[in-house]
Amino acid sequence: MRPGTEGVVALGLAHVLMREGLRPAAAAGRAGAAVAEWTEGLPSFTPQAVQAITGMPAARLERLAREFGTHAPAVAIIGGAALAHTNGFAQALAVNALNALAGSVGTPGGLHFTPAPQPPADSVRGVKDLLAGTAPQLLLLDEANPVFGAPAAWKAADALRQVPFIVSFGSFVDDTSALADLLLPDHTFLESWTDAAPESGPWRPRRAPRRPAMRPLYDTRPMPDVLLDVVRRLGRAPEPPLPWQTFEEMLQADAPVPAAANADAGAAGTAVAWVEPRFDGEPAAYPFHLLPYASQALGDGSLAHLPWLQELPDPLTTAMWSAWVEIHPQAAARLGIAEETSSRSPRRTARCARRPSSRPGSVPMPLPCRWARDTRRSRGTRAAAAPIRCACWARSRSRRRGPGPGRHARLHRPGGRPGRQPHPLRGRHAQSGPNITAGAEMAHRWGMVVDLDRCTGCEACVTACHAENNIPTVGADEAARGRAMHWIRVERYWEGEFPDVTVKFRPVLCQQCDNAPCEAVCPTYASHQNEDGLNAQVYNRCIGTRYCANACMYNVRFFNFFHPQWEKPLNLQLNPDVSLRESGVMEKCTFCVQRIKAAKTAARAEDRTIEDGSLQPACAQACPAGALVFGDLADPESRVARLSKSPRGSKLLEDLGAEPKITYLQRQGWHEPDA
Amino acid sequence: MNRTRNNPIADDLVRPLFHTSVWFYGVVVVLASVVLCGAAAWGYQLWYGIGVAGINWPVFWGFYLTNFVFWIGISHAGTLISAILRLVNARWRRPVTRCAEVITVFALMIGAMFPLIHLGRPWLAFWLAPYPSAREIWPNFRSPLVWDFFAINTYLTGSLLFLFLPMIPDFALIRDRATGWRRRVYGALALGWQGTTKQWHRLEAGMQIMAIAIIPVAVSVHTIVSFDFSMATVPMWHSTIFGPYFVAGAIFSGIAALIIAMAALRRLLHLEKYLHPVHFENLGKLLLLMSLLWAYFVFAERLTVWYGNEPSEMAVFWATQAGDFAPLYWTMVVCNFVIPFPLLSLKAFRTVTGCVIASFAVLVGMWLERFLIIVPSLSNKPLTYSWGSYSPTAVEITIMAATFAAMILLYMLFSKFVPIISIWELKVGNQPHPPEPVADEDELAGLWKARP
Repeated sequence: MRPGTEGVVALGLAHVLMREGLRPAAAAGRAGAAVAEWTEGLPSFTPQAVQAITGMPAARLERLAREFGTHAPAVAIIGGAALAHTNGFAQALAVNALNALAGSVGTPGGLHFTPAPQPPADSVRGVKDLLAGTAPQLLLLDEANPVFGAPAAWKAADALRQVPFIVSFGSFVDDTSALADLLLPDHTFLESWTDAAPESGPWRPRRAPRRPAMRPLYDTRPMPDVLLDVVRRLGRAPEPPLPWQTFEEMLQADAPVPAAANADAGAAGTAVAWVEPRFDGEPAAYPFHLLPYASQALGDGSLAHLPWLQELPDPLTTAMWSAWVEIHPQAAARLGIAEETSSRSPRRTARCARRPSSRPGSVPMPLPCRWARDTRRSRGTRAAAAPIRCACWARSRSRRRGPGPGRHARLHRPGGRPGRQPHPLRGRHAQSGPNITAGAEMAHRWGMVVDLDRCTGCEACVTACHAENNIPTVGADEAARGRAMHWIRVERYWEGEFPDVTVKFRPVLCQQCDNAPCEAVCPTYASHQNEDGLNAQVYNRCIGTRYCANACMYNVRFFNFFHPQWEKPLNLQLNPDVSLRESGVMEKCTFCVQRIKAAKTAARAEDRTIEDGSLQPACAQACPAGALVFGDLADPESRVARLSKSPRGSKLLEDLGAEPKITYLQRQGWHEPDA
Repeated sequence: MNRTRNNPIADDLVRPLFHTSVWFYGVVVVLASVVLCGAAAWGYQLWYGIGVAGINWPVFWGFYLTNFVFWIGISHAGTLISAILRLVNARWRRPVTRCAEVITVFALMIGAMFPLIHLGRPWLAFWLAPYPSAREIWPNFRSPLVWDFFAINTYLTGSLLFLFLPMIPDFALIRDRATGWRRRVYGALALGWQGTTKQWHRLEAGMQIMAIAIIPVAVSVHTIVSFDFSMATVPMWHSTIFGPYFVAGAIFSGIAALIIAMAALRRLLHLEKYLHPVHFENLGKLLLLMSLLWAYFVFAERLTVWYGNEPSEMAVFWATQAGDFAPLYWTMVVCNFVIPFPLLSLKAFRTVTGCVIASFAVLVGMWLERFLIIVPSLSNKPLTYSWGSYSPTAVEITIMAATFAAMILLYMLFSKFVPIISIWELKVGNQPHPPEPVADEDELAGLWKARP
């Protein structure tokens, strides 16, 4: 849709809900009263009018409205670029009123507005004041990086150079602290007491003070203690005197928890009418709308020094270690931007991701994901330091990821498979019973169910897997060669073209096949089936023929092309339960076999069985949507066994006969055609 | 020793062993330095990791395996052709057999190195051998790579024997002409050959057994190499046609290599009297036959895939037919069919030069065929998200160049130490070709007689 008209869609949805009598106008309460024309049923926002304003087809709006009204709780969420337009307030009001109308505010599964314990400091205003010429004599910086975060036009670096003395806290040198006169290394959040307040989500306002998780590694000092110490040594004790000596004491002292506020609080007294967003520049000269947004992995860029996050493929573009500009393929073709265009010009430093879901007139772009200053970790990324300078740059030469529109891979077999019959030729691991291995106490058959209807493509599983299994990151150049190791990956598939485009996510990990093609081809038995039916990989026995990876139709085996490096202090993140792999060795998802072994040992020691759900691999544990369900298929009562018989279930590439133990659940006909 | 003077065949064929030109040393130095570059590249790869090659996820096999299949294919020139020609007792085979068999042995040695170069941890390659390990682990006999290991070793052993047996009388001949260290070395190699009737009978029997035994071995070797691919459920690998397709392609490229080697020998060692145009004509006809057979196999393979219209196979099909790999694919078709077919089917073009041109084209085309079997399939496996591509690095190209240099170098050195044309067989067969004078009857009788 047109940028800045998201609120109109919300109003259009509300219009249909009220017109069809699905919800009365009064249900929105004060939130509705804040929107002009609300009580009249929003007559200016018929689906046709909305189509004229936003470009969203009227038929789809009607369908969405009916789905919104009949599924509870339905939630509309707005944020990011949509709120950054000049009409952000009106947009927020419209969406808030829609949520109130649908009855999704304050209900389980809906939205909860939790006021922050302290009103968040207006960091932007602070920078603006700084830039307005009211430069202080002394500036203390903590976790702030305006040189990097502020728009280049604000010239934050120039303003900072006017400040006579700058003190910077923090654990990493960044663009701003590079200008500081004094660097005072802070504890990291793992080494220090912290105090956090969840912004939204909990029913009641919460405070979350937390103890350090580890001893400080280096000679650092927590920022609050430094400040307290400075105050003391200045000899100017505040009135009244501070009741605590350290930050730790301060946190342990009772701090007031703010009272819960009314969800409707702050609604304006007078109704606010919808306003069009304003854009700078002549539309003829600037036909594209730039939509900067916080990237999935790196947020506003403050996490750009973390290799795990840099090597996390962006859910929509699959890009790693880089910035990009998204553009619709047709618009790209009109501008003559080929996907494989390579430009060495210094002004063209971001690659072009042709994204079928982009509106042809919009150019979304994640906030810059590399600190301009080369820190050790962000060095080597091929990204732009400032977004506006980015034009188009090719995707790396050897990556050819994913299909274009209309090239959707086989996700499921048509017609679902309700009441699936066991295959008559099914091998030794018949679905009807557990794998029987003579002499072994074969009681388990670990399997997984992946609910595609729940997966949002957030990729928390990917990072959790990296952390649990000591998977090395390979860096920007190697990732561009296609050597990144993601034991679990979230595949992204586009269906259709803008505006009729949907995106589908599919987490793919080792399918732990019963009839695994990787096992037969390994000449040394490095790849074999263990007593629990897992496709185990003996790293020490692997000689690196890579035949298993070729034979695997799911491409879930990963090779150590070089010796993995664990630079200090990143070696501290290694999981002691998982062995490290050397150069020339194949590795793959193990279903976190170290956890399975530990659980089995504990269960045997206590003479009990492993309770269903108590044992989870890292990916399933990390999945916020609960899309990954792990368990024992040999136990017919386990959740995974029951779910794997769901009529929504299918196996990936089932017709190739590898007998995978992962079942994918997907509602048939999820994307209903409009009208 | 007066027989030496009136023995033109032996004189011609033994001359390269005793006379070496400056050019020879120059070429050897050049080739050896290329080989050393390859060795250095391999050392670099061993030190830093296999990642210095261009392979990646999902194209885990690249140039190394391409070269492996290519060289194993080249190795089919010799032994197979030589064995068939021996069994059918084709008279024109006599000057051809040894230079063919030598190609087999060296190409096999070079080809068998590539799986080692390609391994992630080559120092553990001995785990493929079923030795009595303390852990009681044997190789996995379900793996086609283990089949490969045995097949190639069998073929190499058989080919060495097949090459060596007919060399024994020639070693004896050189021993008798040589002095000093040469006499001792060739004497050892001649295994005490005296030319007794019993020895001749045993030699003939041994050669006959080897010729029969080596044919199924040669066919099975390249079938098993094809099993490396066809046993995996990878699009366009998983095909029943691969066995005969690979064997036909191997013989095809092998004959091409043989023609080029013969032409080089003819020119460089002045063997025009022995390697007559009729040999090139006959081998050219064989090459034409293999070209037609190759085209038939490609057609049959492609048509069934296209007709079956299986989505993941079609992805590979179109990638080669009209996609990223199309330039290579159509170059292959031109090299393997469009160029050789007219050159070899028209008698006017089936000259030495024409055959050599066609053979060079076939070598290029067959190398591309191996590449196009391996890489496009791995680039287009069923899950489209994991599609990828491959391009070689300098390390892989250097090692590949080094193996070509090594092949030429080994061949040159061999022709320096062993008569590249079997002297006694030529004499037995009344060779060279009819226009030339027939061999001296006395000498022939002398060879058959016991000699002190």
